[in-house]
This record gives sequence, C-alpha cells and structure tokens, in this order.
Amino acid sequence: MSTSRHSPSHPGASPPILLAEDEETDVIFMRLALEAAEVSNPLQVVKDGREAVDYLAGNGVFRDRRAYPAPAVLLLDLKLPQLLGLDVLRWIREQPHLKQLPVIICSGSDQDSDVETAYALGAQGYIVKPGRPAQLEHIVRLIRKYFLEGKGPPPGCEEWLAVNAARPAERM
Amino acid sequence: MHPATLHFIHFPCITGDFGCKVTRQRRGLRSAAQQEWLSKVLQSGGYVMPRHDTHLSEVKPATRRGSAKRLSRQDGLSQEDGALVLYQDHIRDLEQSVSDLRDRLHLLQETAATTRRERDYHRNLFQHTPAGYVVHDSRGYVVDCNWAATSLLGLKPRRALAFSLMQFVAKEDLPKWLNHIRHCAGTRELQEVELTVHDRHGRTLPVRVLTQPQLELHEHRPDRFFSLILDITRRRTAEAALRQTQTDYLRLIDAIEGIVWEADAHTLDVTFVSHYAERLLGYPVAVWRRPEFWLNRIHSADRERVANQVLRVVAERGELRTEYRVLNAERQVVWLHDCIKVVDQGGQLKLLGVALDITEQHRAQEQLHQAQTLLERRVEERTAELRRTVAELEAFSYSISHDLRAPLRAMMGFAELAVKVGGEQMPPRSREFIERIMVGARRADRLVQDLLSYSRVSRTNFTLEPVNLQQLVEEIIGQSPQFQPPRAEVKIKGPLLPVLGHEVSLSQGLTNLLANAVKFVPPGKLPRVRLWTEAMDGRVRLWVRDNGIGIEPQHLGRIFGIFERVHSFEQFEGTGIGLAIVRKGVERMGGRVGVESTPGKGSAFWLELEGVKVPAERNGE
Repeated sequence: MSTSRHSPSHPGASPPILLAEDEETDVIFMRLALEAAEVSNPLQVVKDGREAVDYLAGNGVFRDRRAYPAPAVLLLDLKLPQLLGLDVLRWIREQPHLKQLPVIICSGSDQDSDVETAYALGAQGYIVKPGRPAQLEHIVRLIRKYFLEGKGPPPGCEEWLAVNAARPAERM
Repeated sequence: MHPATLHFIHFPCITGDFGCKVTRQRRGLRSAAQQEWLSKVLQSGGYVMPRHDTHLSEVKPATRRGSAKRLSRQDGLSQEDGALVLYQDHIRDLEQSVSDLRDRLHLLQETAATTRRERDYHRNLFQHTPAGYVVHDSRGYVVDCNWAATSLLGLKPRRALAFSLMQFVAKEDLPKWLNHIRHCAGTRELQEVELTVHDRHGRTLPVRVLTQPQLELHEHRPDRFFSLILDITRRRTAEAALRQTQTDYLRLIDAIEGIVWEADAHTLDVTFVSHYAERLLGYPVAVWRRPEFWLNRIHSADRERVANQVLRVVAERGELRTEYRVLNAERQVVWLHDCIKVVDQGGQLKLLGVALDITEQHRAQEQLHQAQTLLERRVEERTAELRRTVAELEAFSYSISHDLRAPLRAMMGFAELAVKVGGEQMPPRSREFIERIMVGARRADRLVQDLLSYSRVSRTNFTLEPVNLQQLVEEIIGQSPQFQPPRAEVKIKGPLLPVLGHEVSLSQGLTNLLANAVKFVPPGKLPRVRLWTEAMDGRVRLWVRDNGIGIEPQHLGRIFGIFERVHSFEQFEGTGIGLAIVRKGVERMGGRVGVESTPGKGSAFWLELEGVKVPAERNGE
C-alpha cells in the first residue's frame, strides 16, 4: 500500500486517472478500490488544487508528458488546500484543451450549494465518499465502465445516478 | 190767539173720527157764540181746524177759502182767531194726505229701525273687536274707542274720551309717535309703528300701532285718525325667549372644544364660527368671515387637496372627514380633523363642520412612526446578524459533515479491511473488537447524516404542490426491500387521497415513518403495516398502523422530539432523529403529526396535510 504522491508512469501504458485529494486515507481507499476493481489505468495523485492545475496545464515538473500524461478522468475533492476544488473546476472549464476531460467530484459532503455549483460547472458526477470499501469499489467499477472504457454514461443512466448526489432541485 | 182756539188745536181731531171728536171737544167750549158757530159749521158740513197747521194749509183748496172766510165773518170766528173751516171734500183730500203721510211715516220708521239695527250691529262689532281700535285727532284725543282699546289702556269705557293717546306713550317714544302721525297725515296712507305704552295702572306694554288717516276729499288736513293698537307683549316674550335660546345654544357651541363652523358651499367663505376658533388659533371670530380667510389659513401643502375634497363632497351632497394643517396666529402648525357635512338650508347649500385639534395625536403618531422606523432598523440589523450567524452555523455544519465524516470513514474502512485481511487467522476476540469499532463508527456516521438532514428540512424553502400519495407510497415500498415480503408486509387500504405538500420531503418523512413501523417489532414477528387516508374538513390524514411493540403513554409526548429515544440502541438501532425530521418536514408543509398507541399491540402514526381541492361535483348544488 503506497502512500507516495504522483509517480511517473510508464510510457505506452493507458492514460492515468488523476486524483486530487489531500486526505491520505481516502487516497489509500481509492488505490485499494482500483486494485480490487482491477483497473489497469495508473493513478496520479495531486495533494492540492494548485498542483492539480499545474498537472493539467503541464507546469513545472508536469511539463514532462511522458512521465505525467494527460489524464483520462479527474477525481476531484472539494476541500483542497491552496485552491478549492470548485475553483479548479472553474479553471478547467476555461481551458479549451480540457473540454473533453471528465471531472467527477469526490466529496465528504453533499451540501446543496456545492452540488448545484458542481453540476452547473459541468461536473459529470458528484460522489459522496462512501463509508464502506465495497461501495467505493462499486463506484470505481462504474467509473471504469463509463469513463475509461466508454464515453460517459448515457442520459438518465440509473446505475450511475444512484451513486451520485441528486441535484438540490430534485430533493428538498 | 183766542184762548178757545187752543181747544181746537188738537191733533186727534185730524187722526180720529172728525165728527165725533169735535162733538166730544165741544164740551170744552165756553162761549155760546162759539158753540153756535161751531154747530153751524158742522151743520154746513165743515170742520174747524187750527190755522197754523202747515200741512193743512197746503192742502186747503183756494176755492173753499172764500166760504170759510165768509163763515168766519158771519159767525165772528175769523182766521185771525186761528181757526180754519174745512168742508167734506177737503177732508177727503186731507184723509188721503194723512194716509200717505202715515205710509211715509211708517216707511221712515222702518228705515229708522233698520238703520238702528245696523248701527247697533256695527257698534257691537266695533266694541267687541279683540284689537284695540281708537278714533282720534292729530293730538291723539280720543273721539271714539272700543272696549279692547280701553282695557288695553286700563281705562273705564266712559272715561276714554277725556284722554289723549299721547298721555300713554312712553316718554322716550313720544318723538316716534309724533313722527308717525305726521307721516301718516303727510302720506295719507296706512302707517305702522312699534311703541312702548304705560297704561293707567302703570304697567308697561309693547304695542304695535297701525294708523289710517281719514280720507277727505277736501283740501284741508284730515283731523281724524283710525288707529289699531295691538298688544305685542307675547311676541316680544317669544322673541326674547328665542334670543335666549340662541344665546344658550351659542354658549353651548362655544363651550365645545372644537371649531364649529358654517360656510357657503360655493364660495367656501365662513359665515359662522364658534369662539373656540379664536381660542385655538388666535384669530378673532370677526376676521373669519372675510372672504377666503379660512382657505388661506390652510397649510399650502394641504390647501389644494382639501379644497378639491370639499368641492367633491359639495357635488355629491355627502360627508367628508379629513385631516389637514393650518397656521395659527403665531405661524405655528396645528393639525385639524374636520368632519364636514353639506346641508340644504332653504335652497342654499351650506357646509357645516366640526374641526378638532389633533396636533397632539399627530405628534404622538410621528413619535410612534420614528420609534417604528428605529425598531425596524434594529430588526434589520438583528436579522442581518442572525443571517450571519446562520451562515456561520451552515459553514459549521458543513465542516462537521466533511471533517467529522472523514475519520469515521477511515475507521469503518480500515476496520472492514482489517477483518478481510486478517481472515481466518485472526483471533476471534480481535475480530469482535474490530467489528465493534465498525458498528460504532457506522452509528456516528448515521448520526451526522441525520443531523444534516434535519437541519436541511428546517432550512430549505419549498413550494407546496399536489402530491399523489398513492403513487408515492407505492414507489417507496417498491424501492426498499425492507418494506417487502418476506421482511415485512405493508398494505395500502387505498386509494390514498392526494395532499398538498413537497414530494421529496414527504417521501423522506414517509420513508422514516415506514422504517419506524417495520423496525419496532419484537424479534421473530413479521411486521405488518397498514396505510390509509381519511378526509377531515378539507384536510387529509394519512395513517400508518403497525403491529409493533407500541409506545408507553408516558413516552408519547416526546417521541417526535430530536434525539428522543425510548429504547436502547442495542434493542432498536436508530439515532432518535427520524421522527423529528418527519415532524419538522410536515410542519413546514403546514401540517401536523401525531400518534396513537397501545403498548404490546402496535402504534398508529398519522400526518395531516392540506387536501387537494378537486372541483367537487356537489359544489353546484
């Protein structure tokens, strides 16, 4: 169980999953879930919002795209140091070359304003971090199915909607 | 004249039977010569008549005179003796004349009687006229007067003629009287005057005198005046009483602590104003009647409005209550409340009004208004403060949900992984402890989640819409295995009536109620739940009855409170927030919740919401 930060990928491998997460345990759970779900894509982890932006923009060490290839999907926590998750998302939406990047929010809370803003900014999903590893594994399988192997879930996909936080307008 | 002649000069000789009378009178004759003469005359068919009777002279025929003279010459009874001899044909003429005369006399007597009657009648009328009537000369001397006049002046009827009217006229009124008579004589027309007179007993009375001068055709001044004297004491008393009443009313009106006024409805000029106007505003009563005085005292900001209101009320003949400002004599503002009415006074429209001083009320109102403004500002400040606090609390609850759940997630996850990794080699005691960590962490996580739900129910604003309860409950049951066989038997005694609510909140509330219903059942017993609705006066009550353990009466009051748990966690899992969320949600939808329970047999929870008004088929009847 590695607790290391991002590590250069091997050339020729499939595009990585980029995880922006500052909580060590959540990174571990994600790694375990990816392992259990037998996802072959490597995991790149950035510890704060600024680093996430740098990675996506290819700043600094991230200029080396062979070591840090463009990710297939971004799993974005909201409560990040330096730059908040929603600010990262807002920045991404302003970048033309990142238009195709699927962003899935992974947050500890489903506060109305956050969910509303995230969906308004075009997040493809809003996952409330589950308490049980088995649930996370289920979610990771869905991510692989719809975002790594497919091109996003079809509209009204119940399987995917069931693991996502509902829009505030659709609840209370 | 011869003394004997006197005996012949006797009226009955003419009126009675001549022959007989003379025969009878003959006894009075003294001298034989006279008697003889007379008998001769009588024998010759003549009569002896006194000469000086004018009537007889006139009728005496001239042809017979000679024989009469002859007779007198022969018999010594001459005309100088005063005798006249008449013959038979004379007498017939005389008789005819006498008869004529008698007729005339009779006629005259009748006329005289009629005249007398008429005179008496008019005299009577004059005397009994209830108004004093006096005929007098220019100096007032009474020529005639009736009883009313004498009684008015306190005189005895016979004595009136000794007085002049001037003796009764009060000294100060004498010039008036003289003027009156002079005027009367000058114009020769009826004139009238009011005077004070003192009667013979010293009483003073006001009288009205109407005098008509005697109309004469001659040039000389008339010296007869006909005066009608009327006692006007009563009228004067009535007038005095009226004046007194008016004074009393005015005093009453002046005592009112408000301006009582009257104005012309067209010019709006004041025609009357009570003295309070002067006391309140300092302008003397007299100046109020000046044209436009009142309008110009009204504050310029109110003048046009008030004038328009008054004009409108005049047009509508209505009533008006209005408030406006006026400037008093010291140029200070006084607030008036004026109640104005339009009245028709004999075809002329008048405005009547009572204006009350409401300056104090206005001051108080203004102060109140200021206090209110201040209060509102404070409330706004406090509200802003509260909003900030609420925002802080929300941030706080966000932190809790995020930061508190992260370590809990770690505990749950690692505990589960530890058990998985440890596998069969793990000592049973260790496995038990780790499982207890898992249970504890899961419970804490549920608690955090429920708390967030509760705060969301309390905060979120939502609009009420018709909700199809039947469909909603069917969905809830269909989505959750815990409400389906073999774990439970939930039945709807439908169809359930629709309600006004918020579907998502209602869904959460119903889920909580159903979860409760299937949860509190003794181990080994199949939970049976029945749902039905009943309409209650425009509202709908949804019942959820279970066959659970029931609730002791002493706990019924608190089970809807937050964190209220009747049972230990070991017995029945739960955070004690579920029913609080139900109650809060239903109350925010304008409804109520409640429960009835028999311990050991089961409970029946209900929630009551506004029903959906379907256009009822019976409405038209």
